[in-house]
Amino acid sequence: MTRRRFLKQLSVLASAGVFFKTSFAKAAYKVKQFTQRYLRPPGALKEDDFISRCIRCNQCAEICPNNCIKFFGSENGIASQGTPYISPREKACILCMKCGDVCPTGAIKPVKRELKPIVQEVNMGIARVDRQLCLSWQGKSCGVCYRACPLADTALKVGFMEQPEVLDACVGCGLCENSCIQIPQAIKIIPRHTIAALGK
Amino acid sequence: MNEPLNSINAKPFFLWKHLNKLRWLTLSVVFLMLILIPLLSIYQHYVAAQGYNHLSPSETLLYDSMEFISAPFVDDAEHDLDAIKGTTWSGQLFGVKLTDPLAVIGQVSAGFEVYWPFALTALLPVIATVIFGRFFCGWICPATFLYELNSNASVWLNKFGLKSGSRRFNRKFKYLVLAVGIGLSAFTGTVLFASVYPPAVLGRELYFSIALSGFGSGTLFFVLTLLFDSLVSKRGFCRYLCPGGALYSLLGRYRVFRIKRLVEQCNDCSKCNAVCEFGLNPMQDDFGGECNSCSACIAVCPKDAMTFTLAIADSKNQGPGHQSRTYRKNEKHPKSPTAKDPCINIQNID
Amino acid sequence: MKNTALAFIFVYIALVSTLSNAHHVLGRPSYSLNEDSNTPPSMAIETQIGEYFITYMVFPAFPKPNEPGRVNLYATRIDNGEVLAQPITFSVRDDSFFTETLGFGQAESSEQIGVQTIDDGVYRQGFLFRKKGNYIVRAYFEDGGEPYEIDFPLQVGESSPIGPIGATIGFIFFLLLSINIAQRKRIARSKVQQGQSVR
Repeated sequence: MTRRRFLKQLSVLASAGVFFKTSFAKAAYKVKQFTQRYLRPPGALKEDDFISRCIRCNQCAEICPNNCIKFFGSENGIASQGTPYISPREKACILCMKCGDVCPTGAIKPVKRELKPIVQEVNMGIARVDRQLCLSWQGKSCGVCYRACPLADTALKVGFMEQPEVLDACVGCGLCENSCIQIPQAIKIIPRHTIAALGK
Repeated sequence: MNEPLNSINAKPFFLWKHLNKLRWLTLSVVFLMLILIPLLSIYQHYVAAQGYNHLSPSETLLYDSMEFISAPFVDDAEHDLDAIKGTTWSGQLFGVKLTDPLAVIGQVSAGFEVYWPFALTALLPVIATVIFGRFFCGWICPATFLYELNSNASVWLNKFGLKSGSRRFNRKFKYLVLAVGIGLSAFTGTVLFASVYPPAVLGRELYFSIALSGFGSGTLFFVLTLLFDSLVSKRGFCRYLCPGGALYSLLGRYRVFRIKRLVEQCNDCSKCNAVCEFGLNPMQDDFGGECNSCSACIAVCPKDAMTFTLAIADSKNQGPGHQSRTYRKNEKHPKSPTAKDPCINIQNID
Repeated sequence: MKNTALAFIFVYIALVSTLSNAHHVLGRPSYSLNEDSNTPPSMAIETQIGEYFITYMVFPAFPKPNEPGRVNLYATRIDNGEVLAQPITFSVRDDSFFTETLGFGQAESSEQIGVQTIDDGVYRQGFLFRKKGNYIVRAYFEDGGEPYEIDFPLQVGESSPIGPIGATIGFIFFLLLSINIAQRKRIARSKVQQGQSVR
């Protein structure tokens, strides 16, 4: 049972669900559609532009040294079929910025691998700490996320008992989420497009 | 039958006859590269992680074999192997980014804008297509490799009574597919060709199955095209449906480098028509934009009557071959050449 | 924590199976946090539905027949991160190629296994499967007047490393190659003959 299989099933179920609900006397019963929390690779354009730019050539995933880029099947809609995404809890982006260099279409902008351009150009999402789950916020000092953060003290700072606090410079690489020792994770990236959708 | 060749006509350049072998080699190499590149990228991940000791036995095997293959060419596998990435849809070869022109068309129609750094990556393929015509279809396309194997297998299965389809449709249908694809890409704002263009689908699916452990929906699509080819129409997808083929046929309409029949040597044996994968009619000088310069007709011709030439148009129907019976019997009025010559020398082919 | 052990007997052939990569070097997969961790290895999957992020966990990660296990469900609002606090109904059904992908006999085999209230922020539902195979666990709750149905796959027992799709594709490619290589000359000859006889 891999994630891939799960996602495939979701899409099958979603379509089957719609079919069953509409065809068998349960027309009024509207089931919420599944979506997925995903990040676009670092330096990606805004969601709509990204989808129209990306030609689904897989090169970003081939070049990713951390092997963190995956591809959508039909589970996220036809438009984003074959586009790359990152699922940070499974494998997070290490901000090597190679995908931007290899992307032929500019769907992923090339960004220099330095602090300033990364903070300015990269916006995959922003981390959110779940204080109910976080060990440090529950009185057991942990600090793993802070140590995993590639932009420590710029994007994530820790206070008393190593209680993490996310700063505005967070680019949403997901390394904190990937490293969190809680199940489920106590720190989570809220993707940029999700934030944009909430803002509407 | 065994008369010496007419001494007035020069024999075609002797290597043209062997181009078909070279073509099979090219196709196999491209296909192998599509398998090798994902494997190399997995190897790169392992190298980057410096985790050799943690690999499982099968992963170690992969690591060792890829190291064996790549070690003569690279010093620093983690970074140097970045030079070869991608598929025939879009890829990077030693720093040169190459893209299928169809990808550029799809992207421009999806986003209503031309991103020049990307559009220029298709320049080289476009120039090559303008000169050589639809050569991508015959020489590079990884789907062609499997389609040709498939149509050959159908021929073999025919001997056991399993009839393969040989229906003919209108060749112009693929231009409609191209136009509709552009329209739908613009309407949906996404590059739709990526999921209906066999070489793109195949490259992606090979990558998925090797590096990401699982086939996507494109595999189903590709198997369906294989079935279409063998049950409905021989090489039907390439001939009637492929949007890329349509684009290259358009681009290569006035190609400079094309196959020509030498009527003085032709004996109208129709072997060239028989082996033509795209169902063209070389024996009556009918190639058109469709010809992918696969050179199978040159290889099969027992009379050396097929050759490459530099011309921007096919020669008009030159009538029956001068070595044929029809021509010799009735030199004045060569109307319809007889298709069959009873004295076919079958040993000569291959 | 309430563990309701329920028995299921389903007879079916699992046609769809997948690869299960248990060990990876690069980056940690979510089900085993650390080689030395004392946390039981669990399979965690996330999804997003309506207003909620849902995390679904299976303990142990690869449940076996006749061994008790449990699924945990954790749901937080997307906008502000608040934890969901509604009773959740869990039910399970068979997930084979015929029932799910083709849509036959879906309704009959579904069985409710319990209603859980929130417990320390998480919903916990125990299970015990008698037969190995693929199942679908459905969590159902209502929030804001809208029904939420979340389906999660659950694999009990091991599956074969190569699924039938992969095996079929591999076989087709192998067949094509071997026919073409073994019958190379004969195919070339009959191609000419057949082509000529058509015209």
